[in-house]
Amino acid sequence: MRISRYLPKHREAIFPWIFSAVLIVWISFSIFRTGYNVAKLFTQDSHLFFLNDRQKTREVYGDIESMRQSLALITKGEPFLLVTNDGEIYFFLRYLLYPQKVYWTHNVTREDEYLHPWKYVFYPYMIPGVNEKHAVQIIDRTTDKNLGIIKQK
Amino acid sequence: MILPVVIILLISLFLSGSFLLSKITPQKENFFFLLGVGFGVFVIIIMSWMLIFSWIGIPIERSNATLLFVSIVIASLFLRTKKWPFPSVPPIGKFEYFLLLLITSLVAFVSLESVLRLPMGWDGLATWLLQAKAIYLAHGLDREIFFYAQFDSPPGIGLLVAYFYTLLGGVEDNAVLLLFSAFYVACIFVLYGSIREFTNRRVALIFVFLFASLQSVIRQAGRFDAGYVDLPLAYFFLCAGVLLLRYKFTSKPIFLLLSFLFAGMGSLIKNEGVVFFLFFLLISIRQMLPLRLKKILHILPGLLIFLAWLIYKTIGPFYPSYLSHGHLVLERVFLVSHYMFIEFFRIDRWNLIWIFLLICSVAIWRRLLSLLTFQLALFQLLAYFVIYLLTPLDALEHIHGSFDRLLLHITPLVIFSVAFCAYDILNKKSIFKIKHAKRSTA
Repeated sequence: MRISRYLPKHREAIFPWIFSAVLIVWISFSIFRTGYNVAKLFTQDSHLFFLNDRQKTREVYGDIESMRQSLALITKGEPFLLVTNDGEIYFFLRYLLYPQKVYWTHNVTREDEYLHPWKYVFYPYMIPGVNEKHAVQIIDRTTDKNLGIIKQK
Repeated sequence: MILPVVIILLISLFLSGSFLLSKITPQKENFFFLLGVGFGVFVIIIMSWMLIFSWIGIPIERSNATLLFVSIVIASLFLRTKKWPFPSVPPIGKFEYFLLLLITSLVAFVSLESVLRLPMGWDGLATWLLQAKAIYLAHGLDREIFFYAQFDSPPGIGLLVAYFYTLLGGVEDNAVLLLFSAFYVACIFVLYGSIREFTNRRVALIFVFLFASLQSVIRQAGRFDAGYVDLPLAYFFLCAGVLLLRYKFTSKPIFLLLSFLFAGMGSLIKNEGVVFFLFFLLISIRQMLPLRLKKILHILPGLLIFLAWLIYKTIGPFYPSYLSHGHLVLERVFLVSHYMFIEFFRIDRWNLIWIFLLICSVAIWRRLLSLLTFQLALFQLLAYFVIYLLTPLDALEHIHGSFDRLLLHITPLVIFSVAFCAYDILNKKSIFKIKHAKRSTA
């Protein structure tokens, strides 16, 4: 049963006007947001138009791209274990480096270790006072040799 | 150079798909409806082909992928009929021009945004684009990726994106993000074509614009979250819903066949599609009564796609779903309802769509509930409610992290239903100049 039945008079006329009012607010809001969105192309995102692929990669992935480059150089496609609490680094590196295998301390299984032993262990960490991942440490698991700390900047 | 090729491929998907669709539909359809649904028909052909080749062990190479594409395009040109309505520009008012300008700006905006950035939505990278990369590199669907990446996500979009990688000859993830904008455009076309069936051009454009300007939709169509598959899933739900509605009003079995194909393929896009298919089956069987062999034969292709994926998951080793560790926690009912309800008022993401729906629910709940598309959306929403009661994860974190994306699945269906109801109410007295449609499906 319609609630409008309980309205004393002009019940048939009330809902169309409520609908029209809400619709007008909705349309106005959407028009404003469309303008705001399109304006972002010329303000917030305009610098992206002039970047080449390499610059764009650096812009979007930032330090993770630097890590990827270092890792690709040292590990040469061998699987490695990532020791970090930062899920973002794991998921981005897993995608960017695929088909190279990346294992993460948070979801690694005994089967992974048994079936696909990783050759390297990789520690990304922050330099104190700088809120970015500026350094990586890679250890060769077979020889326990520290392959060094690579500073990104 | 890659980008123009992707654009040409996408335009071919729309045009060839619409040619094929115009051949098999019994009546002259709306031009935009043909384009929107036709895109999906071509996509379904590609996904099915990829899946069949993977399962029978034929490696997917650039040569056979190109051959498939060229064959479909040539076949569609030959099959093109007079029913395909070449668009003419009708006389429209200033407000309609303004709405068209806004919609075009939004489409241009999201398309540019999608190619300006590299894929950066973590779920897109962690699941869907990784899956596509794996399928491309393995020349077919391989179970190994599910265990390595520890997910049980269906491979539909992975197969489609991998097909594009194969055609392009490399992992062009930046250019392929445009594919997700294409789903946005296809949703717009289908919505316009469907709403236009029962209302005038102005109202159809208004609701299409209201859909196109939703921030959650814009994000997945190109800005930041391109690569997520919630918008493609929403597109498949929408097509399945509106085609079933067409079947209800015309009783033409071809619409039943198409609607089941879309619903079945939805289960290959994301796990939520499996739940949708079950509701869809339930609702459509009610529409098909009395059941006859001819009708059952028409639902078989869609049903087979759905079953094939379930069988593939069941018979072989497969990474288990996170829900397999869950159990129903009824104490969460209030908490889950509360946080789900709050999302409806997130105007930054949804503008006023859910508020408008709530008003519709109060004013004309009976009419709304009788609408097929709304029933599908409502059942799906209830299913998400149950998922949050079942989840082994922290329920609050799970809702915060996923509910906006789950709502996106049903958004086009809700916009369609809301437009339907708004027409019903606004035609009594309104400033929107509602006129009776050329052909009423209501």
